Amino acid sequence: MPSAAAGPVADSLIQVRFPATELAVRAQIARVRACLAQTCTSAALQENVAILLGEILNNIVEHSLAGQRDARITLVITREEAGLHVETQDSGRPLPPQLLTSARLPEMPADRVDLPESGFGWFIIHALADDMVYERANGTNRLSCRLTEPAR
Amino acid sequence: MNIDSELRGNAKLLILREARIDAAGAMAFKEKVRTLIADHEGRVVLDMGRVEFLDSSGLGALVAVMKMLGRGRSLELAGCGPVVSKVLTLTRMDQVFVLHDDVETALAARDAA
Repeated sequence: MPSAAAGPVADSLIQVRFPATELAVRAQIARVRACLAQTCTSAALQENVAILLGEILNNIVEHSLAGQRDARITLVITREEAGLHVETQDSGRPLPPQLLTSARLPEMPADRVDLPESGFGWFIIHALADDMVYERANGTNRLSCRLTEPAR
Repeated sequence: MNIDSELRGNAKLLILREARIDAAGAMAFKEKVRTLIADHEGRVVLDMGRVEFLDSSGLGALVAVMKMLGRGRSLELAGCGPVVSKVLTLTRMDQVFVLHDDVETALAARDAA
């Protein structure tokens, strides 16, 4: 696609604003998967986008916007040469900065009855996404990242 | 949360009739499985063949189910699709659950768990 003539939004695949609920997140992930299945992105990249969105969007619902009625999330997915650019915006609580750099898996205990049941989300995000950028301005969180086509 | 349950030998086979175990459904999944495996002391095999999506909340629910089984038993997952497999591998939880290619392989594996 000729980017010079296309303009800044021409490669936009998804641009949507939806309620910050777990059920709305579920519906959006299904919608994104259906949309990407129409493009020439690989199945592996489509899977990675779905997994990444599950973590990022539910994190916004459960932490940033927890308890806020009628709150909404903006999601924009743009096609890039090497993959996809994903951006979210919400007007909730700021993201704790330590989550942005890297994440470790929860400790694996010797005894399986002590296994952790949470703490995997940000590890998954960092494992899949590159170029994580977070900005907080005028009470709005803007998180963006890139997903590249996985090597075959 | 739609889950069918069958007893196959000493194994309880739980057949998930849902396309996802996600944040919206993780709690219902956990509680449904809890009732289905109550009083069962043999193996527990979860048919994941229809599950197209798993997120970290769903993964946490699978871990919670595994912990319900206590120290002596593993949770066995059969027929995991690409997204489920990827989430398990990324988080290294593929080493915690017992994975089978499909239900028949799982039920034939007598020494599992």
